[in-house]
Amino acid sequence: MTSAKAAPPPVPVPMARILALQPKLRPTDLEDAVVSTEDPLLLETVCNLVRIWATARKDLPADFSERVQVKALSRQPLSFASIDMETVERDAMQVNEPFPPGSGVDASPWPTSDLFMLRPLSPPTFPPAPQRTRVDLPGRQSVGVCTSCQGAGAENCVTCAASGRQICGSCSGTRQVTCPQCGGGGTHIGVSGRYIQCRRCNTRGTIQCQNCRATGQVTCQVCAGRGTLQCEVCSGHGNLKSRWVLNVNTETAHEHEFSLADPWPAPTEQLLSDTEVLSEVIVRPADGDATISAVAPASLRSMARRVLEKVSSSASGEQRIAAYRVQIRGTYLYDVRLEYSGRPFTVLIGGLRSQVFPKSALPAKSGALQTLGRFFQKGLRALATDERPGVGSDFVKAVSVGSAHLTDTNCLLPAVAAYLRCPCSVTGEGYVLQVVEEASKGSIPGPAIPISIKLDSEVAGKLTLCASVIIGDAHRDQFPLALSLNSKLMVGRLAVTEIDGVETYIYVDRRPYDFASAGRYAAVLQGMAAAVRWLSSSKPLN
Amino acid sequence: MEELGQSLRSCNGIAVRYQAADMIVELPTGGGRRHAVKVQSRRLPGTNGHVLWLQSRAALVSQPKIVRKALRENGGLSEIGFALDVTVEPPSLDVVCGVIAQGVTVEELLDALQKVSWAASAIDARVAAGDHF
Repeated sequence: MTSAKAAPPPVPVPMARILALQPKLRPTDLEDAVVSTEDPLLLETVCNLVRIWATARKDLPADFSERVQVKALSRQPLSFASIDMETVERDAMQVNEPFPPGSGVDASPWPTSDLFMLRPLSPPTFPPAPQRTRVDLPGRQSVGVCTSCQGAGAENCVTCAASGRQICGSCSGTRQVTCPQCGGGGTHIGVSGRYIQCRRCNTRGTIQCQNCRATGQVTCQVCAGRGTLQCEVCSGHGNLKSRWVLNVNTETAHEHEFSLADPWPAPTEQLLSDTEVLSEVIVRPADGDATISAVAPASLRSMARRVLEKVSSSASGEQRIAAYRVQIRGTYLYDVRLEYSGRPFTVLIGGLRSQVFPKSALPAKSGALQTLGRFFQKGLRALATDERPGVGSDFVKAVSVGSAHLTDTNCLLPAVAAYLRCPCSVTGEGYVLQVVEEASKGSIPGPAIPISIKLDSEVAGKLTLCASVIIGDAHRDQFPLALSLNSKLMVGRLAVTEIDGVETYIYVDRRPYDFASAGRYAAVLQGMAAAVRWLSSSKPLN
Repeated sequence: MEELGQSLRSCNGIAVRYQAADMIVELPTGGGRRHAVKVQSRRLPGTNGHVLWLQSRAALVSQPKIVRKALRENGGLSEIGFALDVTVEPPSLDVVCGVIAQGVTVEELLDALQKVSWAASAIDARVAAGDHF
């Protein structure tokens, strides 16, 4: 059932990348089939995401965010073969310019008449809008007499017909102007109030023009009386140099196709720009096919070749294909089975910004009476069970402005940062807090220690706060020492993990999310920061 | 800490004794086995607070690969970690955990004690049976 009224457009909630939903993909991950998951972290994250999405939609029931439940979750990769083709069109054009005496002329012939051989193609830039550029072509220059002034370097002034004088603008050549005293009437009103004869013009009504001194002509203002003007075409040099320029029109054509193991009705066009580029290669026309094999996983190669053929066929005869940019892009697409008031419906979630798209009809907004009834029921339930389902408005606001992570429903870490008075930034996995040392009297506080806090789920499915700091490269001969240092570290422990194939010491602390009040977790982070400072100052592992 | 010890004593199967400033808590770990956990109150550097430091012997370290594996496991999912006690010969692999003392409840401490003792006991049993850690 859909609402009779047209639904207002939903206000999108800006969402940063949530790594729990959109982990880093490799091209081979795009070959995965549909899998269903019961990972509690994913379920919790998706549920929060749907709740926040629902708060921005005015067409959903008021209590939707509170009562919606995630019943099942499955995902599959959505992959794109996206190809940009840069085409170049060239034409040579002769231009004439003033030729000052003594300047050089390159009259050497061109080695070829093929304009693409004459000058190599620039590195491809794939401009989003057509681009026009002009470059100089050396050679084939010549000098000739200026056709405009026939080599004179000057032209007759058109304004004065080369006389150097022009008709006076004040008297229009009549040498007389209207008397300003009587306005041409010959009489005017005197001080007595009666008409008297004009003495200035002696009742003639006109006087001699002072501008041209009664000659009717003035010096030509255009040529300053010279009668000639410098030739604008040759700048007065009398000669013109003819040289060649190359006009280059560069355009980018785009084609893409998508692939899904199970054809869910995803709005793929909206998702294309919101996907991650997993591999990219710039291909010259000659080696297109071979490079596609290297960049695309086996299942996407035929699709990439098809897109390449399609985009290539769009080039016209005058255009030369400069290069292709082949991209394999992908995102995880989630099919989320939800339930609200016993009614099932489905949404799809996909893209780096975790966009939500209804797959089936959404529940209609209820009438005022029903809403009142639900609020009453909710009040009774809250009184009876102390239950506070759904997400708080503070949390929604914090996520919307990017100050809280989607999984941090209690806004714990912003509270910890406020407690410690330290900067806090939201990342895909959680947060980074710059923990500063508590200043004591007479001492200079040390540098801030950046601690990343990941919101993760442990084996039992409980949400966990995982704080970590990278210490440095691990050396095998120091392993016993590193492990023994853990007896001195009050919170967290030293561990070894591989980062980019290199064994690295990390200092890590894991605690259940439920354990933490802001004050207690602040103590953990302060303890970690103190330990990191100790490790870097006393260098036991160096 | 004494108050917490009193509360722990009231829990089924848990024995608590004191050794100097330390509290030794012995917990059942399944299969009729029991395992001891040492609890110390230590100051948490960088703060004015304290930590309840839980430590339990898991195995004697005879091979270097145990150390490497323990360091790798430390990066894993659990709240507890491994430390090497080099004050004994041969060195001992301990299961450790730091609980923030401020506002700690008996339930939270008991949960941490159980995790530490279970992990230490399981390693102890595996190593005793000739299995690798």
